[in-house]
Amino acid sequence: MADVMAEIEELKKKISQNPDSLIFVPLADAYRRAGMLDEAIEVCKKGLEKHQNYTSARVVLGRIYSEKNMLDDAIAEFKKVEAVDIDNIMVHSMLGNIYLKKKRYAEAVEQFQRVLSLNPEDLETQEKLKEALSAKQEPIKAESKIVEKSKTEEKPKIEEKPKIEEKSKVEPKEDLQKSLKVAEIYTKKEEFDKAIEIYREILSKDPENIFVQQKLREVYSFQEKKLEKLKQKSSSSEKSENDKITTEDILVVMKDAITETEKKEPAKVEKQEAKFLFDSNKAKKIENILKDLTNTEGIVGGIFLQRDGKIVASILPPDIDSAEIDKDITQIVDKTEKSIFNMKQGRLNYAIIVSEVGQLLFTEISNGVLFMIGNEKINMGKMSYVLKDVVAKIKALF
Amino acid sequence: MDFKTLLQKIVENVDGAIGAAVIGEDGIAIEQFTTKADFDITAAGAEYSTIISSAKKASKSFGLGKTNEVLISTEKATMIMMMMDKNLFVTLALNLDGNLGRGRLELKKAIPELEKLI
Repeated sequence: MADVMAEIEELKKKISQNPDSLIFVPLADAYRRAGMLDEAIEVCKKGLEKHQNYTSARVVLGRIYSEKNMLDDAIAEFKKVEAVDIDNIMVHSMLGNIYLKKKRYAEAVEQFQRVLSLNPEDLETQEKLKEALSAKQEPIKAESKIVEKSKTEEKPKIEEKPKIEEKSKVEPKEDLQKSLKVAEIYTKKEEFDKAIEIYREILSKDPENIFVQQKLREVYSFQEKKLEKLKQKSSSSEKSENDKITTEDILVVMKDAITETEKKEPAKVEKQEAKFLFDSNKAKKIENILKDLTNTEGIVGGIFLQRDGKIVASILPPDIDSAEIDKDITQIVDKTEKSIFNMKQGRLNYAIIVSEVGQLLFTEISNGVLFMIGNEKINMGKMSYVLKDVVAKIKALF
Repeated sequence: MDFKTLLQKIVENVDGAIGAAVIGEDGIAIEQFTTKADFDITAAGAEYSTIISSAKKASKSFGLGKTNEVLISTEKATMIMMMMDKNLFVTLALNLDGNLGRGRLELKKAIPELEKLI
Protein backbone atom coordinates (compact mmCIF):
# COMPACT_ATOMS: atom_id res chain seq x y z
CA MET A 1 0.00 0.00 0.00
CA ALA A 2 2.85 2.37 0.91
CA ASP A 3 4.38 1.73 -2.52
CA VAL A 4 1.17 2.66 -4.32
CA MET A 5 0.82 5.83 -2.28
CA ALA A 6 4.40 6.81 -3.11
CA GLU A 7 3.65 6.11 -6.77
CA ILE A 8 0.52 8.29 -6.57
CA GLU A 9 2.52 11.16 -5.09
CA GLU A 10 5.17 10.83 -7.78
CA LEU A 11 2.57 10.77 -10.58
CA LYS A 12 0.69 13.73 -9.09
CA LYS A 13 3.94 15.68 -9.07
CA LYS A 14 4.53 14.84 -12.74
CA ILE A 15 0.99 15.92 -13.67
CA SER A 16 1.39 19.21 -11.85
CA GLN A 17 4.53 19.84 -13.91
CA ASN A 18 2.77 18.94 -17.14
CA PRO A 19 -1.03 19.10 -16.83
CA ASP A 20 -1.52 17.97 -20.45
CA SER A 21 0.50 14.80 -19.93
CA LEU A 22 -0.99 11.35 -20.51
CA ILE A 23 0.27 10.41 -17.04
CA PHE A 24 -3.29 10.77 -15.74
CA VAL A 25 -3.90 7.18 -16.88
CA PRO A 26 -1.26 5.54 -14.66
CA LEU A 27 -2.32 7.93 -11.86
CA ALA A 28 -5.94 6.82 -12.15
CA ASP A 29 -4.81 3.20 -12.24
CA ALA A 30 -2.65 3.75 -9.14
CA TYR A 31 -5.68 5.23 -7.33
CA ARG A 32 -7.66 2.17 -8.44
CA ARG A 33 -5.03 -0.19 -7.05
CA ALA A 34 -5.05 1.78 -3.80
CA GLY A 35 -8.82 1.28 -3.62
CA MET A 36 -9.44 5.04 -4.03
CA LEU A 37 -12.00 4.53 -6.77
CA ASP A 38 -13.72 7.91 -6.58
CA GLU A 39 -10.40 9.71 -6.97
CA ALA A 40 -9.52 7.36 -9.84
CA ILE A 41 -12.78 8.19 -11.65
CA GLU A 42 -12.27 11.92 -11.14
CA VAL A 43 -8.70 11.84 -12.52
CA CYS A 44 -9.78 9.80 -15.54
CA LYS A 45 -12.74 11.98 -16.38
CA LYS A 46 -10.65 15.13 -16.07
CA GLY A 47 -7.94 13.68 -18.33
CA LEU A 48 -10.49 12.51 -20.86
CA GLU A 49 -11.83 16.05 -21.19
CA LYS A 50 -8.45 16.94 -22.73
CA HIS A 51 -7.73 13.64 -24.49
CA GLN A 52 -11.11 12.38 -25.64
CA ASN A 53 -9.70 9.85 -28.08
CA TYR A 54 -7.25 8.31 -25.63
CA THR A 55 -8.66 4.82 -25.50
CA SER A 56 -6.34 3.54 -22.76
CA ALA A 57 -7.91 6.07 -20.41
CA ARG A 58 -11.37 4.83 -21.30
CA VAL A 59 -10.27 1.26 -20.62
CA VAL A 60 -9.03 2.29 -17.17
CA LEU A 61 -12.24 4.23 -16.48
CA GLY A 62 -14.30 1.25 -17.56
CA ARG A 63 -12.29 -0.99 -15.28
CA ILE A 64 -12.81 1.35 -12.32
CA TYR A 65 -16.56 1.51 -12.98
CA SER A 66 -16.55 -2.27 -13.15
CA GLU A 67 -14.80 -2.51 -9.78
CA LYS A 68 -17.33 -0.07 -8.32
CA ASN A 69 -20.04 -2.35 -9.70
CA MET A 70 -21.27 0.52 -11.93
CA LEU A 71 -21.65 -2.03 -14.69
CA ASP A 72 -23.75 0.01 -17.11
CA ASP A 73 -21.24 2.88 -16.95
CA ALA A 74 -18.42 0.38 -17.49
CA ILE A 75 -20.18 -1.07 -20.54
CA ALA A 76 -20.69 2.41 -21.96
CA GLU A 77 -16.96 3.21 -21.65
CA PHE A 78 -15.83 -0.10 -23.11
CA LYS A 79 -18.26 0.26 -25.99
CA LYS A 80 -16.71 3.63 -26.84
CA VAL A 81 -13.32 1.93 -27.06
CA GLU A 82 -14.74 -0.98 -29.03
CA ALA A 83 -16.18 1.46 -31.57
CA VAL A 84 -12.71 2.72 -32.51
CA ASP A 85 -10.57 -0.29 -31.63
CA ILE A 86 -12.42 -3.45 -32.61
CA ASP A 87 -9.44 -5.65 -31.76
CA ASN A 88 -8.90 -4.49 -28.19
CA ILE A 89 -8.61 -7.84 -26.46
CA MET A 90 -8.86 -6.37 -22.94
CA VAL A 91 -12.09 -4.58 -23.76
CA HIS A 92 -13.72 -7.70 -25.19
CA SER A 93 -12.59 -9.70 -22.20
CA MET A 94 -13.92 -7.16 -19.69
CA LEU A 95 -17.19 -6.72 -21.58
CA GLY A 96 -17.58 -10.50 -21.62
CA ASN A 97 -17.10 -10.65 -17.84
CA ILE A 98 -19.60 -7.87 -17.22
CA TYR A 99 -22.21 -9.44 -19.49
CA LEU A 100 -21.67 -12.73 -17.73
CA LYS A 101 -22.18 -11.02 -14.38
CA LYS A 102 -25.34 -9.39 -15.70
CA LYS A 103 -26.50 -12.76 -17.09
CA ARG A 104 -26.59 -11.35 -20.60
CA TYR A 105 -25.17 -14.59 -21.91
CA ALA A 106 -25.54 -14.06 -25.67
CA GLU A 107 -23.53 -10.86 -25.47
CA ALA A 108 -20.99 -12.52 -23.16
CA VAL A 109 -20.55 -15.34 -25.70
CA GLU A 110 -20.00 -12.83 -28.49
CA GLN A 111 -17.34 -10.97 -26.50
CA PHE A 112 -15.49 -14.11 -25.42
CA GLN A 113 -15.54 -15.38 -29.00
CA ARG A 114 -13.89 -12.12 -30.08
CA VAL A 115 -11.18 -12.55 -27.45
CA LEU A 116 -10.50 -16.06 -28.69
CA SER A 117 -10.41 -14.98 -32.33
CA LEU A 118 -7.53 -12.68 -31.34
CA ASN A 119 -5.88 -15.03 -28.88
CA PRO A 120 -7.05 -18.63 -29.39
CA GLU A 121 -4.74 -19.93 -26.66
CA ASP A 122 -6.39 -17.98 -23.84
CA LEU A 123 -7.47 -20.85 -21.57
CA GLU A 124 -9.26 -18.67 -19.07
CA THR A 125 -11.48 -17.19 -21.78
CA GLN A 126 -12.11 -20.66 -23.24
CA GLU A 127 -13.51 -21.66 -19.85
CA LYS A 128 -15.62 -18.53 -19.59
CA LEU A 129 -16.98 -19.06 -23.08
CA LYS A 130 -18.02 -22.59 -22.12
CA GLU A 131 -19.72 -21.20 -19.02
CA ALA A 132 -21.56 -18.49 -21.00
CA LEU A 133 -22.57 -20.95 -23.72
CA SER A 134 -23.99 -23.48 -21.32
CA ALA A 135 -25.86 -20.73 -19.43
CA LYS A 136 -27.20 -19.42 -22.71
CA GLN A 137 -28.40 -22.83 -23.82
CA GLU A 138 -30.16 -23.69 -20.57
CA PRO A 139 -33.91 -24.15 -20.99
CA ILE A 140 -35.90 -21.11 -20.03
CA LYS A 141 -36.88 -21.48 -16.43
CA ALA A 142 -38.93 -19.21 -14.32
CA GLU A 143 -35.77 -17.68 -12.95
CA SER A 144 -34.29 -16.93 -16.36
CA LYS A 145 -37.56 -15.32 -17.38
CA ILE A 146 -37.07 -12.86 -14.58
CA VAL A 147 -33.51 -12.32 -15.74
CA GLU A 148 -34.71 -11.76 -19.30
CA LYS A 149 -37.23 -9.28 -18.04
CA SER A 150 -34.63 -7.31 -16.14
CA LYS A 151 -32.36 -7.60 -19.17
CA THR A 152 -34.89 -5.94 -21.44
CA GLU A 153 -35.46 -3.29 -18.87
CA GLU A 154 -31.77 -2.53 -18.63
CA LYS A 155 -30.84 -2.77 -22.27
CA PRO A 156 -32.28 0.51 -23.54
CA LYS A 157 -30.24 2.42 -20.95
CA ILE A 158 -27.06 1.26 -22.62
CA GLU A 159 -28.06 0.82 -26.19
CA GLU A 160 -30.17 3.90 -26.69
CA LYS A 161 -27.38 6.25 -25.69
CA PRO A 162 -25.03 5.51 -28.60
CA LYS A 163 -27.95 5.64 -31.03
CA ILE A 164 -28.78 9.17 -29.97
CA GLU A 165 -25.12 10.12 -30.23
CA GLU A 166 -24.85 8.53 -33.67
CA LYS A 167 -27.84 10.44 -34.94
CA SER A 168 -26.49 13.73 -33.70
CA LYS A 169 -23.17 13.04 -35.39
CA VAL A 170 -24.59 12.27 -38.84
CA GLU A 171 -24.93 15.87 -39.88
CA PRO A 172 -21.37 17.04 -39.07
CA LYS A 173 -19.88 13.84 -40.53
CA GLU A 174 -21.48 14.54 -43.88
CA ASP A 175 -19.93 17.99 -43.88
CA LEU A 176 -16.63 16.53 -42.79
CA GLN A 177 -16.80 13.99 -45.58
CA LYS A 178 -17.33 16.67 -48.20
CA SER A 179 -14.46 18.75 -46.84
CA LEU A 180 -12.18 15.71 -46.81
CA LYS A 181 -13.03 14.93 -50.41
CA VAL A 182 -12.30 18.46 -51.56
CA ALA A 183 -9.03 18.41 -49.61
CA GLU A 184 -8.11 15.13 -51.28
CA ILE A 185 -8.74 16.59 -54.72
CA TYR A 186 -6.57 19.59 -53.90
CA THR A 187 -3.88 17.19 -52.71
CA LYS A 188 -4.08 15.14 -55.92
CA LYS A 189 -3.87 18.29 -58.00
CA GLU A 190 -0.90 19.33 -55.85
CA GLU A 191 -2.64 22.45 -54.60
CA PHE A 192 -1.34 21.70 -51.14
CA ASP A 193 -1.98 25.10 -49.53
CA LYS A 194 -5.70 24.74 -50.13
CA ALA A 195 -5.73 21.18 -48.81
CA ILE A 196 -3.80 22.29 -45.72
CA GLU A 197 -6.26 25.11 -45.16
CA ILE A 198 -9.19 22.65 -45.20
CA TYR A 199 -7.49 20.15 -42.88
CA ARG A 200 -6.54 22.95 -40.47
CA GLU A 201 -10.07 24.21 -40.41
CA ILE A 202 -11.36 20.73 -39.55
CA LEU A 203 -8.73 20.41 -36.82
CA SER A 204 -9.67 23.79 -35.36
CA LYS A 205 -13.10 22.29 -34.68
CA ASP A 206 -11.90 18.80 -33.84
CA PRO A 207 -8.24 19.02 -32.74
CA GLU A 208 -8.02 15.35 -31.76
CA ASN A 209 -9.15 13.94 -35.10
CA ILE A 210 -6.27 11.57 -35.67
CA PHE A 211 -7.24 10.78 -39.26
CA VAL A 212 -7.14 14.47 -40.22
CA GLN A 213 -3.90 15.00 -38.29
CA GLN A 214 -2.41 12.19 -40.34
CA LYS A 215 -3.75 13.63 -43.60
CA LEU A 216 -2.32 17.04 -42.75
CA ARG A 217 1.05 15.49 -42.05
CA GLU A 218 0.95 13.71 -45.40
CA VAL A 219 0.12 16.91 -47.25
CA TYR A 220 2.98 18.74 -45.55
CA SER A 221 5.25 15.92 -46.60
CA PHE A 222 4.03 16.04 -50.23
CA GLN A 223 4.44 19.80 -50.24
CA GLU A 224 7.97 19.52 -48.94
CA LYS A 225 8.84 16.99 -51.65
CA LYS A 226 7.34 19.19 -54.32
CA LEU A 227 9.37 22.17 -53.15
CA GLU A 228 12.52 20.06 -53.22
CA LYS A 229 11.77 19.01 -56.80
CA LEU A 230 11.11 22.60 -57.79
CA LYS A 231 14.41 23.65 -56.32
CA GLN A 232 16.17 20.97 -58.33
CA LYS A 233 14.52 21.97 -61.57
CA SER A 234 15.42 25.49 -62.58
CA SER A 235 12.41 25.68 -64.83
CA SER A 236 9.42 25.66 -62.55
CA SER A 237 6.58 23.50 -63.69
CA GLU A 238 3.59 25.61 -64.49
CA LYS A 239 0.28 23.96 -64.13
CA SER A 240 -1.95 23.78 -67.16
CA GLU A 241 -5.50 24.97 -66.99
CA ASN A 242 -6.63 21.33 -66.99
CA ASP A 243 -4.80 20.66 -63.72
CA LYS A 244 -6.57 23.37 -61.82
CA ILE A 245 -9.65 22.66 -59.79
CA THR A 246 -12.72 24.20 -61.28
CA THR A 247 -15.98 24.95 -59.53
CA GLU A 248 -17.44 22.10 -61.55
CA ASP A 249 -14.89 19.69 -60.12
CA ILE A 250 -15.91 20.64 -56.62
CA LEU A 251 -19.61 20.46 -57.37
CA VAL A 252 -19.22 16.97 -58.85
CA VAL A 253 -17.33 15.83 -55.77
CA MET A 254 -19.87 17.39 -53.44
CA LYS A 255 -22.67 15.64 -55.32
CA ASP A 256 -20.84 12.31 -55.19
CA ALA A 257 -20.17 12.80 -51.51
CA ILE A 258 -23.84 13.35 -50.71
CA THR A 259 -24.92 10.34 -52.77
CA GLU A 260 -22.27 8.13 -51.19
CA THR A 261 -23.08 9.28 -47.67
CA GLU A 262 -26.57 7.97 -48.15
CA LYS A 263 -25.20 4.57 -49.07
CA LYS A 264 -22.23 4.24 -46.74
CA GLU A 265 -21.31 4.52 -43.09
CA PRO A 266 -19.52 7.83 -42.50
CA ALA A 267 -16.69 6.33 -40.46
CA LYS A 268 -15.61 4.07 -43.30
CA VAL A 269 -15.53 6.68 -46.03
CA GLU A 270 -11.79 7.12 -46.21
CA LYS A 271 -11.26 3.42 -46.94
CA GLN A 272 -14.04 3.19 -49.49
CA GLU A 273 -12.64 6.08 -51.49
CA ALA A 274 -9.60 4.08 -52.59
CA LYS A 275 -8.51 4.98 -56.10
CA PHE A 276 -5.37 3.98 -57.91
CA LEU A 277 -2.67 6.63 -57.64
CA PHE A 278 -0.14 4.45 -59.45
CA ASP A 279 -0.44 3.84 -63.18
CA SER A 280 -0.35 0.28 -64.49
CA ASN A 281 3.17 0.69 -65.80
CA LYS A 282 4.49 1.70 -62.39
CA ALA A 283 2.45 -1.04 -60.70
CA LYS A 284 4.01 -3.62 -63.07
CA LYS A 285 7.50 -2.37 -62.28
CA ILE A 286 6.79 -2.61 -58.56
CA GLU A 287 5.49 -6.14 -59.06
CA ASN A 288 8.74 -7.07 -60.80
CA ILE A 289 10.74 -5.66 -57.88
CA LEU A 290 8.62 -7.76 -55.52
CA LYS A 291 9.23 -10.85 -57.71
CA ASP A 292 12.99 -10.27 -57.44
CA LEU A 293 12.57 -9.82 -53.72
CA THR A 294 11.06 -13.26 -53.31
CA ASN A 295 14.18 -14.77 -54.87
CA THR A 296 15.97 -13.88 -51.64
CA GLU A 297 16.18 -16.88 -49.35
CA GLY A 298 13.66 -16.56 -46.56
CA ILE A 299 11.48 -13.90 -48.23
CA VAL A 300 8.21 -15.50 -49.27
CA GLY A 301 6.23 -12.48 -50.36
CA GLY A 302 5.81 -8.77 -50.68
CA ILE A 303 2.98 -6.28 -51.02
CA PHE A 304 2.97 -2.66 -52.01
CA LEU A 305 -0.15 -0.72 -51.16
CA GLN A 306 -1.36 2.82 -51.34
CA ARG A 307 -1.84 4.79 -48.12
CA ASP A 308 -5.59 4.27 -48.43
CA GLY A 309 -5.10 0.50 -48.34
CA LYS A 310 -5.50 -0.23 -52.05
CA ILE A 311 -3.03 -2.92 -53.11
CA VAL A 312 -0.84 -1.77 -56.02
CA ALA A 313 1.20 -4.95 -56.47
CA SER A 314 1.65 -8.16 -54.55
CA ILE A 315 3.55 -11.41 -54.72
CA LEU A 316 2.14 -13.74 -52.12
CA PRO A 317 2.49 -17.39 -51.15
CA PRO A 318 -0.41 -19.44 -52.62
CA ASP A 319 -2.07 -19.96 -49.22
CA ILE A 320 -2.51 -16.23 -48.63
CA ASP A 321 -5.40 -14.40 -50.23
CA SER A 322 -4.63 -10.70 -50.72
CA ALA A 323 -8.31 -9.78 -50.38
CA GLU A 324 -8.40 -11.31 -46.91
CA ILE A 325 -5.30 -9.59 -45.57
CA ASP A 326 -6.19 -6.19 -47.02
CA LYS A 327 -8.04 -4.97 -43.92
CA ASP A 328 -5.48 -6.26 -41.43
CA ILE A 329 -2.48 -4.68 -43.11
CA THR A 330 -4.22 -1.34 -43.50
CA GLN A 331 -5.16 -1.43 -39.83
CA ILE A 332 -1.65 -2.19 -38.59
CA VAL A 333 -0.19 0.62 -40.72
CA ASP A 334 -2.84 3.10 -39.53
CA LYS A 335 -2.38 2.22 -35.88
CA THR A 336 1.40 2.37 -36.09
CA GLU A 337 1.37 5.76 -37.80
CA LYS A 338 -1.15 7.18 -35.35
CA SER A 339 0.90 6.01 -32.38
CA ILE A 340 4.12 7.43 -33.79
CA PHE A 341 2.36 10.70 -34.53
CA ASN A 342 0.86 10.88 -31.02
CA MET A 343 4.26 10.24 -29.50
CA LYS A 344 5.87 12.90 -31.74
CA GLN A 345 8.43 10.38 -32.97
CA GLY A 346 8.80 11.77 -36.48
CA ARG A 347 8.43 9.44 -39.43
CA LEU A 348 8.30 5.66 -39.36
CA ASN A 349 11.51 4.04 -40.55
CA TYR A 350 10.16 0.52 -40.39
CA ALA A 351 8.20 -1.85 -38.20
CA ILE A 352 8.80 -5.57 -37.76
CA ILE A 353 6.44 -8.16 -36.33
CA VAL A 354 8.34 -11.25 -35.27
CA SER A 355 6.14 -14.31 -35.03
CA GLU A 356 6.51 -18.03 -34.43
CA VAL A 357 7.15 -19.03 -38.04
CA GLY A 358 8.16 -15.83 -39.75
CA GLN A 359 8.34 -12.10 -39.81
CA LEU A 360 6.42 -9.24 -41.29
CA LEU A 361 8.19 -5.99 -42.04
CA PHE A 362 6.65 -2.80 -43.32
CA THR A 363 7.86 0.65 -44.22
CA GLU A 364 6.59 3.82 -45.89
CA ILE A 365 7.82 4.64 -49.36
CA SER A 366 6.60 7.83 -50.97
CA ASN A 367 2.81 7.65 -50.75
CA GLY A 368 2.74 3.88 -50.41
CA VAL A 369 3.59 1.17 -47.89
CA LEU A 370 5.79 -1.83 -48.57
CA PHE A 371 5.24 -5.12 -46.72
CA MET A 372 7.81 -7.91 -46.77
CA ILE A 373 6.96 -11.39 -45.52
CA GLY A 374 9.74 -13.62 -44.30
CA ASN A 375 9.72 -17.21 -43.10
CA GLU A 376 11.69 -18.75 -40.26
CA LYS A 377 14.83 -18.98 -42.44
CA ILE A 378 15.44 -15.24 -42.36
CA ASN A 379 16.33 -13.13 -39.33
CA MET A 380 15.48 -9.54 -38.53
CA GLY A 381 18.93 -8.26 -39.47
CA LYS A 382 18.78 -9.71 -42.97
CA MET A 383 15.20 -8.49 -43.44
CA SER A 384 16.32 -4.92 -42.66
CA TYR A 385 19.31 -5.28 -44.97
CA VAL A 386 17.15 -6.51 -47.87
CA LEU A 387 14.68 -3.74 -47.17
CA LYS A 388 17.21 -1.00 -47.94
CA ASP A 389 17.79 -2.45 -51.40
CA VAL A 390 14.08 -2.77 -52.23
CA VAL A 391 13.29 0.71 -50.94
CA ALA A 392 16.01 2.18 -53.17
CA LYS A 393 14.60 0.33 -56.22
CA ILE A 394 11.02 1.46 -55.58
CA LYS A 395 12.07 5.04 -54.81
CA ALA A 396 13.88 5.14 -58.13
CA LEU A 397 10.52 4.72 -59.88
CA PHE A 398 9.18 8.02 -58.52
CA MET B 1 14.85 -9.19 -7.62
CA ASP B 2 11.80 -6.97 -8.26
CA PHE B 3 10.39 -5.61 -11.53
CA LYS B 4 12.10 -2.25 -11.27
CA THR B 5 15.53 -3.73 -10.57
CA LEU B 6 15.18 -6.11 -13.52
CA LEU B 7 14.15 -3.29 -15.85
CA GLN B 8 17.01 -1.12 -14.61
CA LYS B 9 19.42 -3.99 -15.30
CA ILE B 10 18.15 -4.30 -18.89
CA VAL B 11 18.56 -0.56 -19.52
CA GLU B 12 22.02 -0.46 -17.96
CA ASN B 13 23.22 -3.44 -20.01
CA VAL B 14 22.24 -1.97 -23.38
CA ASP B 15 24.09 0.92 -25.02
CA GLY B 16 21.72 3.67 -26.00
CA ALA B 17 18.76 2.35 -23.98
CA ILE B 18 16.44 5.09 -22.74
CA GLY B 19 13.95 3.12 -20.69
CA ALA B 20 12.11 -0.12 -20.15
CA ALA B 21 8.67 -1.03 -18.86
CA VAL B 22 6.32 -3.92 -18.26
CA ILE B 23 2.93 -3.04 -19.68
CA GLY B 24 -0.43 -4.72 -20.04
CA GLU B 25 -2.02 -4.96 -23.47
CA ASP B 26 -4.58 -2.49 -22.16
CA GLY B 27 -1.74 0.04 -22.03
CA ILE B 28 -1.36 0.20 -18.27
CA ALA B 29 2.22 0.07 -17.01
CA ILE B 30 3.01 -2.32 -14.20
CA GLU B 31 6.52 -1.02 -13.67
CA GLN B 32 8.96 1.17 -15.55
CA PHE B 33 12.49 2.47 -15.44
CA THR B 34 13.83 5.36 -17.47
CA THR B 35 17.09 7.25 -17.69
CA LYS B 36 15.74 10.26 -19.56
CA ALA B 37 13.42 12.56 -17.66
CA ASP B 38 11.83 13.87 -20.86
CA PHE B 39 11.01 10.41 -22.25
CA ASP B 40 7.77 9.07 -20.89
CA ILE B 41 8.16 5.32 -21.36
CA THR B 42 4.78 4.69 -19.70
CA ALA B 43 2.96 6.90 -22.19
CA ALA B 44 4.94 5.41 -25.08
CA GLY B 45 4.11 1.89 -23.93
CA ALA B 46 0.45 2.76 -23.54
CA GLU B 47 0.37 4.29 -27.01
CA TYR B 48 2.24 1.46 -28.71
CA SER B 49 0.18 -1.19 -26.94
CA THR B 50 -2.62 -0.34 -29.36
CA ILE B 51 -0.45 -1.72 -32.15
CA ILE B 52 -0.02 -5.13 -30.55
CA SER B 53 -3.52 -6.48 -31.12
CA SER B 54 -3.32 -5.41 -34.78
CA ALA B 55 0.11 -6.99 -35.08
CA LYS B 56 -1.28 -10.26 -33.70
CA LYS B 57 -4.12 -10.19 -36.19
CA ALA B 58 -1.87 -9.37 -39.14
CA SER B 59 0.53 -12.12 -38.12
CA LYS B 60 -2.34 -14.59 -37.99
CA SER B 61 -3.64 -13.50 -41.41
CA PHE B 62 -0.24 -14.12 -42.94
CA GLY B 63 -0.09 -17.58 -41.37
CA LEU B 64 2.92 -16.65 -39.26
CA GLY B 65 1.52 -17.94 -35.99
CA LYS B 66 1.76 -16.39 -32.56
CA THR B 67 3.33 -12.93 -32.34
CA ASN B 68 6.42 -12.84 -30.18
CA GLU B 69 7.77 -9.39 -30.77
CA VAL B 70 7.00 -6.04 -32.37
CA LEU B 71 9.73 -3.58 -33.22
CA ILE B 72 9.10 -0.03 -34.33
CA SER B 73 11.86 2.16 -35.64
CA THR B 74 11.18 5.88 -36.11
CA GLU B 75 13.21 8.98 -36.86
CA LYS B 76 13.78 9.52 -33.15
CA ALA B 77 13.86 6.18 -31.37
CA THR B 78 13.35 2.43 -31.58
CA MET B 79 10.86 0.56 -29.44
CA ILE B 80 11.12 -3.19 -28.94
CA MET B 81 8.06 -4.90 -27.47
CA MET B 82 8.28 -8.56 -26.48
CA MET B 83 5.24 -10.54 -25.44
CA MET B 84 5.05 -12.10 -22.01
CA ASP B 85 2.47 -14.27 -20.25
CA LYS B 86 -0.95 -13.00 -19.19
CA ASN B 87 -1.37 -10.37 -21.92
CA LEU B 88 1.64 -8.40 -20.76
CA PHE B 89 4.61 -7.19 -22.73
CA VAL B 90 8.01 -5.80 -21.88
CA THR B 91 9.22 -2.85 -23.88
CA LEU B 92 12.63 -1.29 -24.32
CA ALA B 93 13.20 2.13 -25.87
CA LEU B 94 16.50 2.86 -27.56
CA ASN B 95 17.85 6.04 -29.04
CA LEU B 96 18.93 6.04 -32.68
CA ASP B 97 22.44 4.75 -32.07
CA GLY B 98 21.28 2.20 -29.49
CA ASN B 99 22.43 -1.40 -29.74
CA LEU B 100 19.32 -3.10 -31.10
CA GLY B 101 20.73 -6.64 -31.09
CA ARG B 102 21.87 -6.36 -27.50
CA GLY B 103 18.53 -4.85 -26.53
CA ARG B 104 16.63 -7.82 -27.95
CA LEU B 105 19.00 -10.26 -26.27
CA GLU B 106 18.66 -8.60 -22.85
CA LEU B 107 14.88 -8.58 -23.14
CA LYS B 108 14.80 -12.27 -24.08
CA LYS B 109 17.04 -13.08 -21.13
CA ALA B 110 14.92 -11.02 -18.73
CA ILE B 111 11.48 -12.36 -19.75
CA PRO B 112 11.62 -15.63 -17.73
CA GLU B 113 12.67 -13.62 -14.65
CA LEU B 114 9.94 -11.05 -15.20
CA GLU B 115 7.33 -13.77 -15.72
CA LYS B 116 8.24 -15.29 -12.37
CA LEU B 117 7.22 -12.00 -10.73
CA ILE B 118 3.77 -11.84 -12.32
